[in-house]
Amino acid sequence: MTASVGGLQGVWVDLLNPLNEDFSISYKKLSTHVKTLGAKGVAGIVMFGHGGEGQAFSATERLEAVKQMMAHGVAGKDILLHVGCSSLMDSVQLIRAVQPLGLRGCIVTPPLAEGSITDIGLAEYFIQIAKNTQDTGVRLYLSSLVKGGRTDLKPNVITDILGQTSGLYQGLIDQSHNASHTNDWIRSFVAMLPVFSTQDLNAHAMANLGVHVSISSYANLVPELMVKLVQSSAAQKVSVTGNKIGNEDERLEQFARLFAALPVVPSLKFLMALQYRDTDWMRVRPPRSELSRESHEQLAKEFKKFNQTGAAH
Amino acid sequence: MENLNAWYLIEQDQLHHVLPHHKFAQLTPDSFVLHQVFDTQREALHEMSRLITLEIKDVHAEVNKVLPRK
Repeated sequence: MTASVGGLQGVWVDLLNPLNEDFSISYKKLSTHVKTLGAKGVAGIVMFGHGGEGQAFSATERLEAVKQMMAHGVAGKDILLHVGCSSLMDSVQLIRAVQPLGLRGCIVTPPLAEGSITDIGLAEYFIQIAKNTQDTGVRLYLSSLVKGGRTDLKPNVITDILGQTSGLYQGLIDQSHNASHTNDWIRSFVAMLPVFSTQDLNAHAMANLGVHVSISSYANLVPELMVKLVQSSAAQKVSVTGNKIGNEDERLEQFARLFAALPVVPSLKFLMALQYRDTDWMRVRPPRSELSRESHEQLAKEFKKFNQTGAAH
Repeated sequence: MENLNAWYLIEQDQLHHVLPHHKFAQLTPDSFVLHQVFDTQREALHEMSRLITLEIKDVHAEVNKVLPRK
């Protein structure tokens, strides 16, 4: 057993959402998927993150989905919810609305980029969310976007936020998929707050740094592999960049290479469709679109090969 | 995450089975493949039936590839 860091421990799956023909969420399929992941060792689920196409779902839809999962027997303590909305007050209201549900916490991301966003404005956005929800006791995590651009959280912005919201944010989540970005955050803030990464390929390196927590979209498909990587620990301390240790790392890299040249979320959903033999899983919410037909055959072939190699190990 | 009331669809020795939690917990690790976990036995059995139908279709297609055309 490893100790909880910032209220988290183990693998938290950045949950993909199966969609109906009208692009609403298929709650039945989602709850089955969540229970299956639970049986394969994951600690909890992250709803409406990057993998869950969070920006494509309204606050009302997110709240309803959480309630549906709980109605299907998923405990609130096993759910982290992305609450980053473009409107400050939508984010605040969503956090207030989930307070009675006893979720593990809420992840706050920057609003989608607009030309006039400044560092001062961005800091104020997070400060106001924390201050307007502090009476709820909901645990908050401060997160970057996958592609930060103008809304990337620079260290000075985070310092400003943490300075004015003492103790209200419980951890930092780096979604950048950039190892040096994660390293910068660790160097700058680990003394104050735990830093988590959503980059699956960093999971082993983070475990070696003592952070046995991963927020993982790959875990939708390879949960047991992610659990092994996150639970592992090595005697030596290593940096986040450039690690390649053992069979599990190689296996994860093989998995990542399957769709390296393709859009991640449609690719993962296509692989889910293959794994569950259910084409409904391929749907993504517009303006995203499904993987092209041309990509299907090659990816299906590679995935089959990947699974056969796994069975041989 | 706990699934104490769930039903497990597994494959073991090339056969599909639907099991309640307490029986699933007694299985030897690595002796089976877990497909999916369901709220009810009915849903699990329905999925098992769907998977078997798909596999029959797969075999049918394979056989048709091998058989000479008349």
